[in-house]
Amino acid sequence: MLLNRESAGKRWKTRPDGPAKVTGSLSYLTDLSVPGMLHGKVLRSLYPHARIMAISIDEALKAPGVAAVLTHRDVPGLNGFGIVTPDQPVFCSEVVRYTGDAIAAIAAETVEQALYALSLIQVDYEPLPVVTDPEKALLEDAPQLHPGGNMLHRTDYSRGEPEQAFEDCAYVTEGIYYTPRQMHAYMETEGGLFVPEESGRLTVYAATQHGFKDRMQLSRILAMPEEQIRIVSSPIGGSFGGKDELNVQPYGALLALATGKPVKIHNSRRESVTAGLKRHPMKLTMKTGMDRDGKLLAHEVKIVADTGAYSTLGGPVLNFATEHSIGPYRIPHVSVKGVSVFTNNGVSGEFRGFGGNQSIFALESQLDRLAAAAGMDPWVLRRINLRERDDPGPLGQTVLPSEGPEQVWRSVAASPIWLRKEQMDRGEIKTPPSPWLKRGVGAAMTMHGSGLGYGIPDPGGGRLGLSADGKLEAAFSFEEFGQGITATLEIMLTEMLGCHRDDLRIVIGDTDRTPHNGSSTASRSTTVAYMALKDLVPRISEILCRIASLAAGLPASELQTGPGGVWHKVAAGGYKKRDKKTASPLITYAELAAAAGEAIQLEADFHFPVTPDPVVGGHYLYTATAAAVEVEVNLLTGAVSVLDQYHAVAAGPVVNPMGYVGQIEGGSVMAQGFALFEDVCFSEGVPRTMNFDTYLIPGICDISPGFHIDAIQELPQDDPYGPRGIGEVGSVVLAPAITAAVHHAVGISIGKLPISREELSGILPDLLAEKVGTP
Amino acid sequence: MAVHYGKRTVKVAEPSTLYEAWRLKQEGGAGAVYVAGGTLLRTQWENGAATAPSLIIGLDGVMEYRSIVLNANKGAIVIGALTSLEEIRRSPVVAAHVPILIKAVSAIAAPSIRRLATLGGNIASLSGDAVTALLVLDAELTLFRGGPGLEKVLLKDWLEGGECVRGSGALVLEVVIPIVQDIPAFSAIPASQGADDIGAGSDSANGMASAVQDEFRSFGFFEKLGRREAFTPSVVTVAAMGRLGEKGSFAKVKMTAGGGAALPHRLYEAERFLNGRRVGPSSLAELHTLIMEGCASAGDLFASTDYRKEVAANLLTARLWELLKG
Ligand SMILES: Cc1cc2nc3c(=O)[nH]c(=O)nc-3n(C[C@H](O)[C@H](O)[C@H](O)COP(=O)(O)OP(=O)(O)OC[C@H]3O[C@@H](n4cnc5c(N)ncnc54)[C@H](O)[C@@H]3O)c2cc1C
Repeated sequence: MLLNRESAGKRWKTRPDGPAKVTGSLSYLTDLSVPGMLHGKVLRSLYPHARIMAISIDEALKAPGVAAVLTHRDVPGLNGFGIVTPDQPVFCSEVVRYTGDAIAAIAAETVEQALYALSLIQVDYEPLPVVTDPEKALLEDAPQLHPGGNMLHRTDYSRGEPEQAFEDCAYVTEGIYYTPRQMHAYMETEGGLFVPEESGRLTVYAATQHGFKDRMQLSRILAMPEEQIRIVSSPIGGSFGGKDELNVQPYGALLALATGKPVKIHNSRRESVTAGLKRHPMKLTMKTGMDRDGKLLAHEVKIVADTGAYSTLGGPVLNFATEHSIGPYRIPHVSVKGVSVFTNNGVSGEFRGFGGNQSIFALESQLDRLAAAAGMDPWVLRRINLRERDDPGPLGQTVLPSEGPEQVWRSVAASPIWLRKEQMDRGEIKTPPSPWLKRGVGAAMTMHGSGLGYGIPDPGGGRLGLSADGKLEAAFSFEEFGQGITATLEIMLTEMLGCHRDDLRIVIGDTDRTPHNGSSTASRSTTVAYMALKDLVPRISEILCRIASLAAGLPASELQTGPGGVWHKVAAGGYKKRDKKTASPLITYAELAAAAGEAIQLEADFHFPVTPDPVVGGHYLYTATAAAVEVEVNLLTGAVSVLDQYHAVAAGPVVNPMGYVGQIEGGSVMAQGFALFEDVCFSEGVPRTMNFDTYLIPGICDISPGFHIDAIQELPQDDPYGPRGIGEVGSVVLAPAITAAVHHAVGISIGKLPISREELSGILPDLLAEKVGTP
Repeated sequence: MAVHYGKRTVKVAEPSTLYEAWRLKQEGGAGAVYVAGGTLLRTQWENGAATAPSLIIGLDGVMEYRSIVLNANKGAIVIGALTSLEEIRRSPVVAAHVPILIKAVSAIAAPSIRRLATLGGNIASLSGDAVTALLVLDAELTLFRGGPGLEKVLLKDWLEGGECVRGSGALVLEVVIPIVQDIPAFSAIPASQGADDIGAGSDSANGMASAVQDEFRSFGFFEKLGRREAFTPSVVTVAAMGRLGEKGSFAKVKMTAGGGAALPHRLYEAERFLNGRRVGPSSLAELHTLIMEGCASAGDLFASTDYRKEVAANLLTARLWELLKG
């Protein structure tokens, strides 16, 4: 189904947080202020790699308005954080490894006083050689950044005998691909409010994508029981993976506890760029071969990921890149070797697509090059090699049967953009009037894993009940960072319970008020919510109807939940036809709550669906996606414009049409930035693009006027998991589709993103001489 | 090695007369800065491209230089230095007489910034995108340098003369743009020009007899290449104005290039080559080479010097090719 406002009809629902966001009245956590609060600032390193010889805070302590100056001496618990391995110091004591490393933090009455006091802290550094190239970092004589050396993680997967199989190939292509250090570029920079409560507890109002994980990490740092810490983490002004790891929370929490006063911290954009996470730049070397008929035989991959100074999720990102470098294709002989390497280039970490973006760009480009070498249609080549319904996953693991790859393949093959390509190839389409404008069409596809993968705890669940004040209350440990989870929950609940949106209270992003059902990451939340509600809704309905049955003297089997309360089934059925004002429930939710005497709370608890095979990081659920784009290359400048795009997504039933469109559109804009503009430039370990005047992301004028989404909803019969996540898939195949389209337009193969205009531009007189002759 | 952060205090002065502004600047030296819209300075301070000043000299008090006046007697449009780029963009007078300036200011930054940013600031920054257009328009500046009167200097001389012409603390007060009769918009429009105009071709060393009997029409254009479609710093800016005869000969052509940190400049060799010449495909190639040679670009992280030169030459030659094609 082409998914848009028209086709969604009545299900095109204004999101609950929409009006407040559009009018600017919504208060984010970084907008919070309380009387008497202090302002925190963090002193970060001046060098990408240096030894700290001395830190003197005496002058800063004497500065006006200063309430606390903290360093490594003031961390009561573990002086480190990191979701997997806590190797990033809260405060550095001996060595700094990137320019975002923290050395001290100050709380003062005003931001200006805090900044002034920062300037009085004296740090003596001894600069050390800077490690900027991950391949050189692996050489023996490279300076070592961590006690365990410069290698964070290695992956090694193989099946068959690729080396031998290459000898049987009729076509072999070898390519090297480079991907950029993309920045999340969320509107709201990191920050929050940290409040020491009279009870001795600490409340943290700060963005994260996993409140319970922050609670655990802070408890380690503060040496404070987890229950003493409350994390309120929603709403968030954008995250895209960038706020999943701790950022300013350790400093806010330590300063609040040290001063006994609420402390606010809010990064400037500069601080955010310096200290924040980025997408892993990767170098992917691929050798891929096929036989005369276009059947893939062998595929060899080497991945080198620049993980920057600390671990965070560098390991799992490499696992994901490894898995997704094989794709939805049947390839008998495969070898993938990956390595994630420490450098002084900032810190790389989680980012929408999670390592898939890099691998998929390289793999899809390889297939296009093979097709070109064999003179085949690139889309036909994919069809020949496409996996089938019951095939194992990319790493040979058992996966849920899926027809997604074939569905999205067919969708693109029949799309207007792809048909236009065929017309272009037959010379049936008029070329633009200016001889320097060249058009082309390209496409790419993948299947993208959801959930954290085998071997990683991935709890799911949720809570649903009737509160004492008569609200249907649903609680999940998710965060709203713009992806629309609150709208999705609201739509699921109103559709499943038949209730009105005003009957609901949705509680998210608060460790005190929600059960622990995992993170808002890895395209997992929608599936978790669906699975939980599929369990909880019948249970709560049954309880509510039973109470209503007692009160109304009707059999429970004749009752059902509806708008405002529990209805007689006949009345509920006739509700639409009759005058809405006279129709009313038998008993309202408030009356039910009073009759129940106490709040009703039901919990669901399960693990996110996972493959039974012990393949670490391997996925069980996938969303298939494919995209076709038309581009125009201006050879005067090398600029690439995206004219039209078509996305096919096989993610099961569409729960929230507007949210679905928003996710695919938003993801694709990010992918366009990845393909055409974005890269945080570093020189000698120092970031050079410090704000949005030099780090350019696509603007509205860069976005294609045409944007079409085919939402493929059909799942195999008896599929138990319902809607799949779509938070990432919009961002993973557009870049290779764009480079394929550029190749179609001008015949140049792109190996490095963002596309260099200098590689595409030509010399006008040459262009004119070749193509048009005398004016 | 020890690192200290210093404490800074910034004073703000709001002079109400030119002389006072001038005096504050002379007394304050390098630490004293004129601020108009403050949009460029703000980013320079934040990026560390300029050290934060000790004295901000606000120019808002000198409000008389915030206007756009058509001076029919002098055949010129006079724009006050404190006029915002957005005011210029919306000015019917500018649209009617110097449309390429509209095109240039419309391509600068975004609406919120254009409302603060001034034309004077764009010019004083030397590398502003509007300068490329103003240069091809033969704009003249009115300056105040502490003397008893105001001074006039051609924008071209002001840019080319270096610090010794611009001096320290010169206040830009007005931009005077001569209106050339029937100099048109972004694209060529026909004009009935007699043989009298052809004299212009004679300043070319290559003046050709064939040009003399031609029917001429005027043209003018401005192009900017940024790193994305809108709200972007420039990589390359180019502008051209001149006349093109029916038979393909050029006259009175002026061309400029700028962009990025480069100082916008005239492309004299390329102009000389074109003026009075009838242009065919081979001369377009020669012209392209001359433009590249005449182009002084500054490479940075995002675009190399050679690329900028090539794009400048491409954009100019492509537009001329389109004109020739008609
Ligand atoms: C996000 C952003 C995007 C931008 N994009 C562009 C762009 O696309 N193209 C472009 O050209 N510019 C761009 N700029 C730069 C800037 O906005 C413009 O150059 C603007 O015209 C500067 O005017 P202003 O009044 O703000 O100058 P200010 O910042 O106030 O001053 C700039 C300089 O000129 C001096 N000055 C100002 N007025 C006078 C005067 N009357 N006499 C003498 N000296 C004076 C100041 O001392 C200072 O050195 C951008 C700036 C920002 C922040």
